[in-house]
Amino acid sequence: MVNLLTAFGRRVARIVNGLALQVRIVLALADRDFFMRAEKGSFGVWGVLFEPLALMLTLLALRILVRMKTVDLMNPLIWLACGVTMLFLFKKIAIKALTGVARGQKMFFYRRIRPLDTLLASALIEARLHASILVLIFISESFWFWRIQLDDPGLALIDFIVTVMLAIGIGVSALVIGHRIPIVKTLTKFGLNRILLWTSGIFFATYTLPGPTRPLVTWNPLLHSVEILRHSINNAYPIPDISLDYLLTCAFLSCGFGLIFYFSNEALLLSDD
Amino acid sequence: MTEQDRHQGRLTRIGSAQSGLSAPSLSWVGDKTSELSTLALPRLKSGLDRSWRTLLSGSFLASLFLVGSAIYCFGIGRDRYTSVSEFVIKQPMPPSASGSILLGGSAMSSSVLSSLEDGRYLQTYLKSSDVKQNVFPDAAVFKAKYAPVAPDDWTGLPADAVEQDQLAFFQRQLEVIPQEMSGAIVLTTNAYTPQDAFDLNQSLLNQAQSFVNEVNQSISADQRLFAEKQVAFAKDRLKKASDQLEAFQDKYGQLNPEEEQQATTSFINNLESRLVDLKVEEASLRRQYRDPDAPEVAFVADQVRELERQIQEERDKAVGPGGRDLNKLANQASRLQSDVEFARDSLSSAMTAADNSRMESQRQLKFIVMLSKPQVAAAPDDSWRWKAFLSCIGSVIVIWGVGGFMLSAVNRD
Amino acid sequence: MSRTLIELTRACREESLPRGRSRCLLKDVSFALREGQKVAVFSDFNKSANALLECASEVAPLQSGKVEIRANVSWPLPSRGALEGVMTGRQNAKFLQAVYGTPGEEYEQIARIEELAALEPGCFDQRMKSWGPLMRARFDVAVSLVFDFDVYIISKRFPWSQPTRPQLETLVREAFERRVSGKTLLLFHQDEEFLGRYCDEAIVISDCQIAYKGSFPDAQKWFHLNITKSRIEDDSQDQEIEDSSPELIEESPDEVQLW
Repeated sequence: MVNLLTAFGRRVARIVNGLALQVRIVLALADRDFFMRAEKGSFGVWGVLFEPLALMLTLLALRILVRMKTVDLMNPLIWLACGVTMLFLFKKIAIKALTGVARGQKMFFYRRIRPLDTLLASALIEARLHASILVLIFISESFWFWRIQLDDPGLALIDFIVTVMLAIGIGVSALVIGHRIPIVKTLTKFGLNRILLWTSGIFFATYTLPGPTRPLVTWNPLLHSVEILRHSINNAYPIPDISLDYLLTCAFLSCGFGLIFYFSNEALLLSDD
Repeated sequence: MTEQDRHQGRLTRIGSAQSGLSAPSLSWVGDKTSELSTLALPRLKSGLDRSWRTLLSGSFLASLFLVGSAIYCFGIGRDRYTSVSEFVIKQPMPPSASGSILLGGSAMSSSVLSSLEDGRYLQTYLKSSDVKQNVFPDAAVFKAKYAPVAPDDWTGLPADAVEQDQLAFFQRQLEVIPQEMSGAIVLTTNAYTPQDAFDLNQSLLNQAQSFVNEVNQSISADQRLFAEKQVAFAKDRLKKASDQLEAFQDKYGQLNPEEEQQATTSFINNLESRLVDLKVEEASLRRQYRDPDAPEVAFVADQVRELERQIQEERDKAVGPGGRDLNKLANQASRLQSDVEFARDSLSSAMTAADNSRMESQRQLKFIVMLSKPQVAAAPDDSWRWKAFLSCIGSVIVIWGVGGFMLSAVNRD
Repeated sequence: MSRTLIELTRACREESLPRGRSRCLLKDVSFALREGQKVAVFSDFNKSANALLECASEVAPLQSGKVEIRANVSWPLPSRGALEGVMTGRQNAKFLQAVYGTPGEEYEQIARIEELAALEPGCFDQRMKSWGPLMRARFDVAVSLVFDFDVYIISKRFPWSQPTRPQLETLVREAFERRVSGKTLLLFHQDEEFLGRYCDEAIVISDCQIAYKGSFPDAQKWFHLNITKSRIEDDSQDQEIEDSSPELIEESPDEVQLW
């Protein structure tokens, strides 16, 4: 009995140590990744932060010029920021993973570092970066208008985390597909990116669409993510046909399938072509 | 300076620094696992500094915070008891108009919409200071029920809480949530004992019932009052008009100006007809008798003159101001009559309206229908512990994710 | 019976050459390294021996066959690995410490790396691409001697002998000795005295296959009697130098010169 308990304890300790090691590796890779990006960019560390902001301001200026219908219930900057930030977050994690193996090849010299670790590190950096952007925009807007409105912070946090999970799940599959089928990168650049851009709710609110046309866009889990984030800021913002359940289901399914797909192809990722 | 120069310079420095050391005298301090050489000792003198750094490091503080929050949430935190009731506000006879279609596919019935509307009013009303005053008329009792109890001294209402703080605390103990689909209203109350939670829920239900009835009753009372005022006013007006008519009739007898005027006109017509006959007879006699002063002619001529004078006199009497002035009297009588008729009609309308108002207020009286009565909680509600702990974890994640990121960006820059 | 830490089964490794050709480095090699074993590698062709070390540490992939690793195996020490020239020595050390170091001993291990690298004051916090190749080589050695592995794979670049600077040679040797004491070793080195000092057993690779396995003295004798060194020059560097400066002195494929 004592031996059994000891063996069980050792096993648990091994698992805990393994998890702790995994966390350390991901944190170290994230730190390194952030440093390398800061070195490559023109504006250093702050360039990494302000690149999505620049796009947002451009889109906002375009919106003002085109005089699109003002979105009720929410400041236009916040409304736009929710959409752009979540889309960028997803693209930077999931779509960029198509070239993940090639970019991280050097790191695989160390046996403890695997392609999945580089993806997780990238996801961590992007999540922190985009969360910081959202928080900065939110705080700036609150100070400007001297009003704080965040009706459901818990929902906002959960929505953000589930979106990151979704991106990781898709990214894990993209790691394998991008390495094995290079044509997918081209197809993604010219096809999927545009589809995501126009169906993720960046330029429109779901409740403004007529009922019969909503199924054309509500298949996209990113749309749910964006709209739920907007709803969490103002609970009066209507979100017809949008559900957190669908987003959760997509996230868990993508993670599950992606991990199975990845582990059955990991050796191929590390071998020379 | 080339690498070689630097190398030479370094060797010189190392040589002079280690001039007293020979290779074998490099000794290892500590056991194999720590692997510290004497050369490394100066760096490790700051062991104390390192321990401070460890204590102040982010991960340590975060762990400490999480452990502290776990201890509080699952250990120290007082038990909270919840009492839940569910009700719906119904009208006996719903209005005929159907509800408008809101978001989504199906139309909601008007009773659901009505209940939802009342629920939203109750959301505000039940959290008002009036309700708090009604439920807890004695502030000391309220403070005593919710006073902090050791070891959890942070939960509860402090003894020195002012009115605003008491109201804010009271508002946090209850939740009124209208259900969009069914129109039901869920009332949840919290307290630190099961009986208090139940009593609070029950009191609030009574307050809700009073609110609904008071609103209905005050509206219907106002409406009835107004209608009754209108009836009184109409009655008064009818009385006045009737009195005026009566006075007129008393003055001029049961004079019917129209009939009088008709009779006078008929009499004058008869006189004129007689005058015409006499004039014809006069003309005939004047042709028969060559002498115009003949007694037969003079007699008829006198009759003609007399008749003409009589007709004129009668005419003057009918319309002249000194005479009977039947036109004016006819107008006046007509006006008085119509006043009376109008006042009678007004009274009839006012009475009908008052009756309708009474029936309407009876019809629109709303009732609270209990779907689920409050119960005394058998066990404490532990969901708040998990919510609080997960909120702490979420806060740490956000602070680490955003704050840590910004700090590292600043440090790196 | 000690457990098997590394097991190669019918491993084949090839090297790509220009104009679409390839050269076989390992052919159908099956080899098992048990816990506590200290095995030296003799080879007629240096690249074959290096390929064995790289495959055993999973730094390089196999073209066929499989390798099973059941322990914490080092990379062929002292290799440059994936250190970034734009990062400082401290940052690179911190990165590796997070991956391979002992939790809770971050400061000690980074201080140890700094000590063993014996860089000029302040250089440790400067970008590695501003260092000379010798400094970088010392850093590689320092990094390889700080972390604890179950199996140490030592390549022929390990600076065992530094006759010009005996004090620092002693420092490296003592650090090495304390590290590998009681550990499993797989060594390939030109200095047979170094091999003989630490290894009890040896294998001989000839013509891309393991030709002999046995005790170290027997294998050494067999190697000298039966095998002539390959005439093919090892003309490529074992480790590309990251961000090398124009004045860079070419690294020799032989033992690393630290000073």
